[in-house]
Amino acid sequence: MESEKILEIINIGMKYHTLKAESTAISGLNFNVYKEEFITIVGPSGCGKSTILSLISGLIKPSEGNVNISISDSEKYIQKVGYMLQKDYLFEWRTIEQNVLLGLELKHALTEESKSYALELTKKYGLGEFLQHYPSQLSGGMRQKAALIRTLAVKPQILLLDEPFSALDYQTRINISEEILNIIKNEKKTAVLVSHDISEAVSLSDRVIIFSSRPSKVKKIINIDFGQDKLSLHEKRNHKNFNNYFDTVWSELVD
Amino acid sequence: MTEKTIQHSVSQEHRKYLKSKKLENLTVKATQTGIMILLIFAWEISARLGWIDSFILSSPSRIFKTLVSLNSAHQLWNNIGVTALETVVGFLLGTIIGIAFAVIIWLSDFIFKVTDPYLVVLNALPKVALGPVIIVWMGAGTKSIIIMALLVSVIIATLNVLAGFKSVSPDKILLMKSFGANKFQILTKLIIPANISTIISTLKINVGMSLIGVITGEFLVASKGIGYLIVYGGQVFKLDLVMTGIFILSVIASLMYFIVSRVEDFYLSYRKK
Repeated sequence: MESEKILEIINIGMKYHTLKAESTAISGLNFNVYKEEFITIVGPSGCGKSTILSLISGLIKPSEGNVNISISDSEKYIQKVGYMLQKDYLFEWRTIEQNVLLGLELKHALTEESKSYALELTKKYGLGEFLQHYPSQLSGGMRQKAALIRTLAVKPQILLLDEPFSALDYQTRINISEEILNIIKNEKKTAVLVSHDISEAVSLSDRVIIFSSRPSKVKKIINIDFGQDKLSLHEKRNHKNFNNYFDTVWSELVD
Repeated sequence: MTEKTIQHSVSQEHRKYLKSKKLENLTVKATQTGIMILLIFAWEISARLGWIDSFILSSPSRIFKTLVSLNSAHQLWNNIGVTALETVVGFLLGTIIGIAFAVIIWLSDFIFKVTDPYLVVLNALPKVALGPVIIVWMGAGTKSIIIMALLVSVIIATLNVLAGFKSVSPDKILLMKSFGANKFQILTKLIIPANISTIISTLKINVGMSLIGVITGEFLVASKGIGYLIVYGGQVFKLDLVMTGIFILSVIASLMYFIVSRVEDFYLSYRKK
């Protein structure tokens, strides 16, 4: 695995304030993410998994600690970090093409070059003929793919995925997560996924980071190794190591 | 071969479906017109047979006669023109200012929190009560009447559009922010396009609101317009004139509603493209 650090989470603490009380969601959180790595964060519900993504993306500031993102100058990004949410949130009044170009538009970065890159992605990943369609005319899986391309269009080096498959039915979910994993690997992106699905975590990622319950910190990091690259998700799920990893993650979560 | 037959039968079924839809549409329209004609006939007949007092409730033929005599006295079109102009100006001002208020309040959470109770109270307040003040201030004329129409329609427009703005899912706003969007971009690229149908329904409500404002204004000012004809008719016991005024108002209201529907159709077909 490449050892170039792209993301450092240093001693992050996060407190929430309400009129009644102050509560600590995260405290003393540390971990690193390396270039082109796919990591999944799992943890008990309410452990601040989604919060960590908002912190990495810079949408909220931590109460303590730092998020360091180091991207070499040679990498051409328009936005360092891309965020993919639980649902696709495609705008119904925009065509797929206009939806895909939304990020570039907002960043004032819609040039001939960036546009053709985005449209190239849609063609490469099977949305080429749907560019002039409206979101309502596409299936759930297709919509999620369009949402991914919308995020990729701003050439982020790090992709944050907040349970992006949870709104899909089981079969679509398996297919689309396979496809999205391939796209991420193909485009050489680093990805941080938040999930509550252990099978998904084990089959998709290079490492699984397990959070403790509130106030959460890293409880354990598990390296996932199936001995060979390029296994399909289905093959991974049937691999002899799969159940071991599954049980390890499971027992860490129930503790 | 079989496939072809199946396809043929499907298209025939579809044709059947289209035909039944068309028929349904036609039946609704025919029933609507039928009820209208029936009511007019019933009204006319009961007036002629003396079942109702045509001095109070008038009758279709008396309304028609009143229209003709108003026309020959050059009292018809100029009064319609005055009322229509005041309504259209009041409607446009009320809608535009209402939407502008909604935008300003949406932009600032502080302004939203501060203005909220004021808006609720202003909405509940009968604006007609302000009529005398407006007339003394602005003079007994068109200006006062337009202000009345504006007052009646502006608060409801603000509240409606603002409610639409506020109902946009916070996750969509989060998505915009994840691309670094500023407040103005969120407004123009998400909030407004997501609320076009709310804005159109506000237009529909405001047609009625501004007409209410104009007629009450004309009642108070009592110099020109359909509202004046109605008030005058009431004072000199010419209730035919009152009923004729109401008839003209319903025509104006339908026309304005029709125009707004056309705007809506235009928008929908534009969006389809």
